[in-house]
Amino acid sequence: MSGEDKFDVIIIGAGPAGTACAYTLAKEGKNVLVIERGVTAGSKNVTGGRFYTYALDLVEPGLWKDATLERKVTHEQIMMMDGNQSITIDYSNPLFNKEGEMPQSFTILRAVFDEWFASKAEEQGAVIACGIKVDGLIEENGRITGVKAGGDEMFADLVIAADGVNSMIAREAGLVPELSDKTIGVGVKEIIELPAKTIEERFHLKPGEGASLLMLGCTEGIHGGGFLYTNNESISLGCVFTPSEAAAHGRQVHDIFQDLKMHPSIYPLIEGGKTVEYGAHLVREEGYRGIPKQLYRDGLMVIGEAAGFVLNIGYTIRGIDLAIVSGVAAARAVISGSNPGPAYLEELKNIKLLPSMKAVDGYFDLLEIHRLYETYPKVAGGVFNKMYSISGETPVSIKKGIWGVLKDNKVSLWQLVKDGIRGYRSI
Amino acid sequence: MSNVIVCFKWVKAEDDLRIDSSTLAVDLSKSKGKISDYDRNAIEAARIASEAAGSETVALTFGSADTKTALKDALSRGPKQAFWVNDVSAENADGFVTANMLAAAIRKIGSYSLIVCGEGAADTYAHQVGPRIGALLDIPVISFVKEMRIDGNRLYAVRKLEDSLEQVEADLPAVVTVLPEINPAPIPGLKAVLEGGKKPVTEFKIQDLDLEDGDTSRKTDVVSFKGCSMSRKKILINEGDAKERVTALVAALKKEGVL
Amino acid sequence: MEAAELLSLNRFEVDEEEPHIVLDKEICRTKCKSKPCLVVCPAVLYKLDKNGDITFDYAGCLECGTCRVVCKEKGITKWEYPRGTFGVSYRHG
Ligand SMILES: Cc1cc2nc3c(=O)[nH]c(=O)nc-3n(C[C@H](O)[C@H](O)[C@H](O)COP(=O)(O)OP(=O)(O)OC[C@H]3O[C@@H](n4cnc5c(N)ncnc54)[C@H](O)[C@@H]3O)c2cc1C
Ligand code: SF4
Repeated sequence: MSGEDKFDVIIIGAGPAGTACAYTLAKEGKNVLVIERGVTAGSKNVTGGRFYTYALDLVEPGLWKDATLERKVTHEQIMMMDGNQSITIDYSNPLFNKEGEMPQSFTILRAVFDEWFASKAEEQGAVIACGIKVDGLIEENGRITGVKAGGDEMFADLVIAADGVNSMIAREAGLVPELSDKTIGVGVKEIIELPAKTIEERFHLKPGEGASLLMLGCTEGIHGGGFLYTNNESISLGCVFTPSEAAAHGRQVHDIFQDLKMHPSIYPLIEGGKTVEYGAHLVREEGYRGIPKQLYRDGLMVIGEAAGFVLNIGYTIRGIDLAIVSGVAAARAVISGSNPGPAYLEELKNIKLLPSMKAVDGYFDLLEIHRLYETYPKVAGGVFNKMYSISGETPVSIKKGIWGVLKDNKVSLWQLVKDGIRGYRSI
Repeated sequence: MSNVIVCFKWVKAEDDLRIDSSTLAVDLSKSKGKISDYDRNAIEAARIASEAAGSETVALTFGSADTKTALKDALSRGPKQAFWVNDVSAENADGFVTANMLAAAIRKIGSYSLIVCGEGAADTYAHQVGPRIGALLDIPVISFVKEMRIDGNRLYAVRKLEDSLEQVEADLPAVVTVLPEINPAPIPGLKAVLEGGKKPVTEFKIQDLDLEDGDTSRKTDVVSFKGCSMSRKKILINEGDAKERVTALVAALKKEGVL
Repeated sequence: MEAAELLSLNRFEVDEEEPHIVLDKEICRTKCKSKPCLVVCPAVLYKLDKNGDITFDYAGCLECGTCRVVCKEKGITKWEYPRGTFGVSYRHG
């Protein structure tokens, strides 16, 4: 192999994980190649739509100011839906967005963001080759020494798989086990264009401010939920479903999602908008327990969602920030010069990635409670219905009303207590 | 044999154009750039021709600052080096200005045996630049080329016309404008992409070129640029049984002159 | 909106030479009773024809990978990402 064909590190995938890793390595003078199958970085990537800013600061302090982000999230909303009724909780806290400080999170469009981020890594000296799919790894005496793409081979001291949720490459190498249709979600999403002013009026936002809205009870009982994020001049509206349950339910996920658009609480938010894109993507849903046993073998490391670093905890999804953090950890391990495998695990702990994922591990149990996706939104809807129905007739007491609703929905006291305990324990 | 120069254009991707249905205004702001489709075939044709003749392919473009990305792309398709006339006026230049720029750059590059252009650009499709370059350099031009071969100092080409093929020969140096069917445009592989990023690019400013007064002023002006929408007649034939409806349909089509 | 109409909004570069997903329809017909692909594919690319056989067109694929994961009977004999530059290119994501 000639010097021309060899790099210090080859990274597969220019998503947030791969690019953050490349940026950090290139900045330290490493000779890095990133190979991305999309025509541009980001052109294959779909997300829900919010990004926790701290992660970019970890890559380079202040870098976020230059980033192509959409709106800073100032309004956190959760909506519970049942039929045509809905209950929305709206939380806002100015402390998350103090004047002159880095806002906590932004809404984000990945085709735009990833391309910007990759250009920044390029400025640091990383080589980004787009429009090239890595077909497989090169293995010599049990060690990964390079990658194959088309008819070409390219070698490196270390290959890093940052190839995302499906991670065909890390799976082939035996690091990442096969995905299960019970522990992933398929997300479908539309980008709906609306003028900035309309978005600001409908969501009560000032210019530059944004809302994040998560919905429960819009998946016909299938484990999953809806999301809506306000971008500068569009809305990201989508729905996530667990495939095994969707299959058993028997109705096309596409149709269930289309119905969500027509829900009386959602339609007014997107009315008059123009859909300009339809996307779909998988996301892992197991959190900490989904992290593969081994994240490294001789010559190969896994980062980002390929390595299970994503948290879906019901009220928010975090994958982009964790991907970046893991990319930085891997880069630091390489730079440290010690044995990369153990160094990587050490860095993942230092950078607080593994501990923070472990801390919320219990949410998985909470989200496993099936009644969350249909029954409880129904119960909540029923109770509010009783509270707000004023007809002049003598109302039943609220307490009685609640029992009635629980009974109507076949929820026993025992189940309620059990779910309550399970829920409390899990958080 | 001396260099084969291939001219290419960086255009806005047409599938990103957005046309406002009521005003027909065209929004280009969301459009990404790409190498004009036929020019990709032209680059490959130039590569094949120069390889056969044992010479080098050189890429040449006239474009504004965002053409920078194009150079890497073009170079990953085979040319050994690229020349770039970098000026913002490229964004609304007509065939006259573009040909003046490219011809001046070609004179500057110096030796060449063949100049390859795409038959038309993906955006304007005006068929002007190749013939005009030929005129400026006072060399033969062969257009609508679907096959070509070089033997010594002679170029043999097949031109595709409406319903016939024409064989043409000319002495080199010459200009050819090629059709996409001349050869497929392969997608560059990993090594080609990496090499493309390392090959030399020479940038010219307009001042670097020997141009005469007036060479940079357009001869044509685009006055308006609008989307076109097809309006349908919306005729519904739904009366009678199948036979009657077919008869009515045939009659209606005849009336419109379709049949 | 229909899936086909939504897909028409996206930018696709279809690889005419090499399909990235290939089915063995014999397996789909004889072995697979549940046919989960019919409901989980967000692009609704898996359909049943008059004879109850699966029809599939890889051209509008969003490359999510859901069909691969739910396909238990291995009726999908090949599932790869499309070759570089081919397939869907999101403008927003
Ligand atoms: C519906 C949905 C909603 C979500 N919402 C949020 C949210 O609001 N906030 C949040 O933080 N996270 C969210 N996530 C999760 C988040 O999007 C991912 O966890 C994150 O993008 C993972 O980053 P990554 O860099 O590991 O992988 P990816 O972003 O998937 O990047 C992998 C890259 O590798 C490339 N690639 C793959 N294979 C190859 C190959 N063989 N050769 C070359 N290139 C290859 C791909 O093209 C891609 O660019 C959501 C996910 C989904 C599906
Ligand atoms: S990968 Fe996704 S979009 Fe493509 S066919 Fe499979 S389920 Fe449908």
